[in-house]
Amino acid sequence: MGDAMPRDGDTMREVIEQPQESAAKEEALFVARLKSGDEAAFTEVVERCAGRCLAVARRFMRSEDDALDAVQDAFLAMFKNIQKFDEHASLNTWLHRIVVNACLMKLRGKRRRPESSIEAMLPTFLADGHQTHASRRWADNPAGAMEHTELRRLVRAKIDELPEQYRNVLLLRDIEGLDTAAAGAALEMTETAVKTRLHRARQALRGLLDPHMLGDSQ
Amino acid sequence: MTCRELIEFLMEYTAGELSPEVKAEFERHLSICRSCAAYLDSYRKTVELAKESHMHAYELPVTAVPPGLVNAINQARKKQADVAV
Repeated sequence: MGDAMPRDGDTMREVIEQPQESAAKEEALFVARLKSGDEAAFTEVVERCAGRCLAVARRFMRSEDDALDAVQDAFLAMFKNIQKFDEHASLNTWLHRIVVNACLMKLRGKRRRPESSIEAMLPTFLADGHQTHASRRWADNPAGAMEHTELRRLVRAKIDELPEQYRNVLLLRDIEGLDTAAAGAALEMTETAVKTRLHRARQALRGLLDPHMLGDSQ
Repeated sequence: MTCRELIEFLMEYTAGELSPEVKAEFERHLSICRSCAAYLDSYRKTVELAKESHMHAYELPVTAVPPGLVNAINQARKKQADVAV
């Protein structure tokens, strides 16, 4: 049995903290190996983290080749900047940010197609402020009406229909979990702009999903 | 408060960022406007569905990484190191 197993007399706090402390020590040692230029550590970090990095890149990039390129760029940036990494931070979180930045840089370089307008995807109002078309209640359990896999695919497809600058804000805030300030820094925009775009992106996505989500009674 | 105003400040409402006075007005409107209540409910579900839609992609196992990727990164790193020297 390993050391992480609880022993008689351990308090719950000790039981919880032991594995956390040991994981933190392991990570500090691992980062030290990376900083010293240990070849095996470089290979290990790629083998250990490439899967998760690729999953992040696939969410941003519209082609598999671009996602693979972004992951490669991210690891190269990580190796180049490893001396700047603060040992007190999480290596996973740092790498996650680097992947996101690599994707955003790639997307900025592309900007290949004209941005569609989001206006047509937003709700409209009458002169007196009422909604032009009354909103109807969605099914309580939309996933129940559809296979989970099918529903996830539909939602991802609708997110991809959003104009890129709105899609990126939604991905960063609602899916990658960055806070407003971090998303603003990554996208080089103010926090107010992030908030405005996020709200519009959510409204547009709601509108795109609406026809698929109405309950049976509608 | 109109439907337009309510929908404009929906994000602040769901994030709990409205002042008590505006929140009270917001909730009064929601109690009498079925359309806005439905909109709020679907807005919340949209955020949940967006999160849920990518959760499984995030848990991609290492085995699903294309075999060439790890090699390509390691090779590129060695090239990068050679250039630096």
